[in-house]
Amino acid sequence: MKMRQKMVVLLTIALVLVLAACSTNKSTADNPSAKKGSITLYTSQPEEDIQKMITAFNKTYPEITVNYFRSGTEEIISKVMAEKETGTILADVLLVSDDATFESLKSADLLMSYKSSELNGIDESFYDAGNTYTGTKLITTGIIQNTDIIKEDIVSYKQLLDSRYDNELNMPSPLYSGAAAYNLGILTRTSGIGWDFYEGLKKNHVVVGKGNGGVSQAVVGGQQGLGIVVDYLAIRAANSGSPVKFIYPSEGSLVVTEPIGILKSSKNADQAKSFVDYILSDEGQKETAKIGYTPIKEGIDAPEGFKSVKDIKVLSTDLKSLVEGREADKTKFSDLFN
Amino acid sequence: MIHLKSGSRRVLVVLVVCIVFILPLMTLAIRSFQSNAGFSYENYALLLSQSRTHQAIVNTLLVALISSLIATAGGVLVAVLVAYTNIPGKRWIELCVLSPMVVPSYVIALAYTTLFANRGLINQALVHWGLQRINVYSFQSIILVIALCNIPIVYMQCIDALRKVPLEAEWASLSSGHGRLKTLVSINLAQIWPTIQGALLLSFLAALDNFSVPALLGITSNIPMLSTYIYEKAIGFGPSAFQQAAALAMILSSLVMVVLFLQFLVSRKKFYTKSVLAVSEVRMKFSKRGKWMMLFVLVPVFFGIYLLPILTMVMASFSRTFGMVASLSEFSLKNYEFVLTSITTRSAFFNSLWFALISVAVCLVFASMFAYWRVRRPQDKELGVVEKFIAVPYALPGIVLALAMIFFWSIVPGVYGSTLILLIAYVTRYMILQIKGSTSAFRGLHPELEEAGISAGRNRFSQWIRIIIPLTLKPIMASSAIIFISVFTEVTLSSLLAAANSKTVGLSIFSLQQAGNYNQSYAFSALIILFILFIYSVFLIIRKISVHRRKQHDINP
Repeated sequence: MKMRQKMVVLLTIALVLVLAACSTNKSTADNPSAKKGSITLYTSQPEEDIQKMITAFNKTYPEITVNYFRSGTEEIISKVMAEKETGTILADVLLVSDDATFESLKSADLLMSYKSSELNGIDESFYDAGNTYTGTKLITTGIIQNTDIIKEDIVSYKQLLDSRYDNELNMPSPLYSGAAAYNLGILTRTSGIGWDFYEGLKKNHVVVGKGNGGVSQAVVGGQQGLGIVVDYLAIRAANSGSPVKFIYPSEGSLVVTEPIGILKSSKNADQAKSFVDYILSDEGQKETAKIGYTPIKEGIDAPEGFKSVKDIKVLSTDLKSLVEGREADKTKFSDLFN
Repeated sequence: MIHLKSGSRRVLVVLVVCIVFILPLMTLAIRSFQSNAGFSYENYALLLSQSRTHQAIVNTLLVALISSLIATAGGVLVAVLVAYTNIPGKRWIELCVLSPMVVPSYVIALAYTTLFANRGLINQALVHWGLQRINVYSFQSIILVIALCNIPIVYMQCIDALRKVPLEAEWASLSSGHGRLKTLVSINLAQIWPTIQGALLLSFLAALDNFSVPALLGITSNIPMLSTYIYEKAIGFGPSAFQQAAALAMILSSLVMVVLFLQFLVSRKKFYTKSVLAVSEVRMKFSKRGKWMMLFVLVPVFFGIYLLPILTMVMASFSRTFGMVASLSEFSLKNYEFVLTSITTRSAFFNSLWFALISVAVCLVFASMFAYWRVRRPQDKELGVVEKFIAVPYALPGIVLALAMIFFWSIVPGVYGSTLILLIAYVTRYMILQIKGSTSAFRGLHPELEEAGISAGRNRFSQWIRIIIPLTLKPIMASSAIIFISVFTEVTLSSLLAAANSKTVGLSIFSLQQAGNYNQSYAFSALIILFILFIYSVFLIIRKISVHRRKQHDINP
């Protein structure tokens, strides 16, 4: 019995020592690449893209693990809100489609203010004055056309309402995709387009899928001949030989900057900041271009096929009314298409 | 072994079961009556006034009814063919019919979407002949795919019952002058009528529970069904969305309760075939010509329904662009490369594997202890009630259970958002399967065998190893196998409970499809089917070895 008691005591001491050793935080301030830890990222970027970015990030910061959850922007925000309600927000960093989304998170006081050292070269209209979120790339929405199915030239959104394109249209859902929600807000507030545009699309039996990925796949595969989709998916498909082309509509383009922001409740703020710094750094921006997006930093070239921002006619409206109207817009869209 | 006689232990067990299996559902019920102003009917009032809710309820009921009727008709038909006739290739037929038990329903749905792709081969042919295209994202397809997935349920129930219908009854009917067909209807089918009714209700329940098929085929074409509506609400925005999801879940649960009640009524009338031996004699002989005619019809039908969609999906998985491989130039291993190297799919695979193994282990230990107790002490009547409690999370639809888990286990810190909540959900849901399997296994074990062991001087432990386990292994393992496959391919619970670091196979395939990465979802599905076949063959080999060993042992004791 005495032997057994001794063993128990020894084991307990050993256990306590092991636990103590594990929880010691080694100082890594002076050696950034030795920063350890992990962060949880919620993103609406396509899986392949975010994986490439994380791999590149880990070349500079090999000891920080990035666990990510990928879904459409709207579903991600819902998940964050649901987590907030159950007590713990699990995400550290958010990388989702547009500023309007981040504005509503900011007004719910969920974002950490962090002024990255890499802001040089990024136009100040692309990040929040309070530094709660920063744009990471430029994504425009336009029209994708399968040239094997639709032979004529397509130049504008209005053209899509023509009855000859009945059952040939595909678009992402604003209930899932942040970019689509953003577009909905702007287009319905643009004179000459408005809600009539969406009613016209409905008349042509437009397929409302989920995200932009589905739209791109459908048109590339020939399920429909035309779609409203983000530029990078269409341009990448065209560059890799698919019979599609991307059109910047004559009415104008809708631009989102896919901002990145850190959640106030994050317990891994240090590592999160490293991740933000990396994405905004020259290296991170070069990687962004390599993956296939228009980078947001000056001096980094956009990849082939992409127009640079000065050549694009940008459609926009005041951010505040976009943010305030988003839920109502989504409900109206949902009612229209049900 | 635990000393089961102590009264306080019994109370403890009842308490634990209530907390784990019943309280989460009570929390769900309470939440459904909550609103910003406290207790109210607001959620129900709002939902029941919306046409989308009416639509969802009607769709859910219609799908469940029609699909279960089709599944029952199909299942009985095939069961009669296999149990009574002399057609060749029964093993293959059975394999096909039972394949939805191992191939997840979302993979089957995915496979059908490739087969009937808008510009795929079949639709191109139809258009060529001037006919209408078949839209696979439709109400009818949801019904048909769910029916296909539920045929195994009906088949398994009926085949055994059919074999137990006494030959003498048939002979009596035949010798009185009734034709073969009339005998079949008025004797065989009439005798198994309660079984058919039970099977119909089971497949109705399975249809109510099905989430992945309406999600894959119905969300983009805007066909609201209760299971996907609950999911949409739960991932929706706003504080009241959660409560509304809870209210919808209660509506769905009340439908389930009605069916369970009907099931209870039916099972009372069941013809007790326990003491009757199953006979595998051929009862309906086809002539040689008849046999080949049957095959001529059956082979293309089975090929078309079961194999062709999977083949189409596999072919699409090798395509560089979306859709079928039109030419060799489009052939590419890119999708497989992505699936095999992607962090998400790899971690999903290993997560699901671990979940499956751990769930099986936990269920084995607890269910076996419970079953042993139940069988050896039939005087403890409260165990019957406890078993009914444990069955509830399995009877209710998965999406309802997932929601209940969120509401209840978020009270305990560190559970929601971790792998733990998924594990708890799996164990909660599938425990009853192991209990049923272990109970029937132990029932077949005579106490005299154990007592013989004790009187021969063996201690409790070696008794289990030498006597109890070998004799009960087969039925117990059968339940474990079902739990393993179910947890490994599960998607409904994962859709609401998985976090960034606990993705599962089912959720991964679902997310890939939702994100539009169709070819990658096909590639992953194909790999998962391969893996399941691999596990199955390992299982078969182990069984063959153990049977061989036992034979050897018998020959050389």
